Amino acid sequence: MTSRLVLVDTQIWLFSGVEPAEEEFREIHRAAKGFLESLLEDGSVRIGMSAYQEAEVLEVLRRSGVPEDHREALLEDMESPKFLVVDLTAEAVRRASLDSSESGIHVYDYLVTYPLRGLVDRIYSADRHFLHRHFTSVAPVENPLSPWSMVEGQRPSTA
Amino acid sequence: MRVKIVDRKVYIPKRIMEETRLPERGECEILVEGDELRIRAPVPEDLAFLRVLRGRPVRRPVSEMVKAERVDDL
Repeated sequence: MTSRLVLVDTQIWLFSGVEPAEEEFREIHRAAKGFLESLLEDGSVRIGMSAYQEAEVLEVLRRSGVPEDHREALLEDMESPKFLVVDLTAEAVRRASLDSSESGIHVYDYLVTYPLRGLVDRIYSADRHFLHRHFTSVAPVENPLSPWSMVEGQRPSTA
Repeated sequence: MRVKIVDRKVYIPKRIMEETRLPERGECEILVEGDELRIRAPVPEDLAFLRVLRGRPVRRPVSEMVKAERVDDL
């Protein structure tokens, strides 16, 4: 059996581990949690992550009040063969900076994605930035939280 | 790097075993690409974060979640 390598965007990690207080947004938590559970249970799927994203996910969960032992559980998993954590290279940063300037999309989405170019089979993201060709050229992008979508710094919407 | 194959058994240096987290014995995943062979450690079935997801989640207003994700103050 060969495994697939997928990228799971940071917002999905955030909404899987944190439930919105407002009822109208809880559906996003349920979708993210169910999706991530199915990926983590699936032995044929491995999760690719840049070293930058590893820090980003853990920091976003910390800022959202996720307890330290829960974040340490995730960190422990990230060190297991279920995950492939790829170092951030100077070349990836250079390309990220140039393409970020061209698109106007902040560089952090590029630092999540570009180190995994040529490695991932699919990108799972609800971030509308990821529909840009800079990201779809790395791998097909699928939104498992549809019809919900997001842009960093804004409330989720179904528009 | 060169490794020895004796009677179809591949002898991998200890340092490489540690770096790749391959088990000393048991099953691995093998990928054949042309005349190349790639070996991966098996994916664990029991993950700590799965237990976290199955427990009671932290609850926060969406405005706080959105703020937590903002990167403009990094």
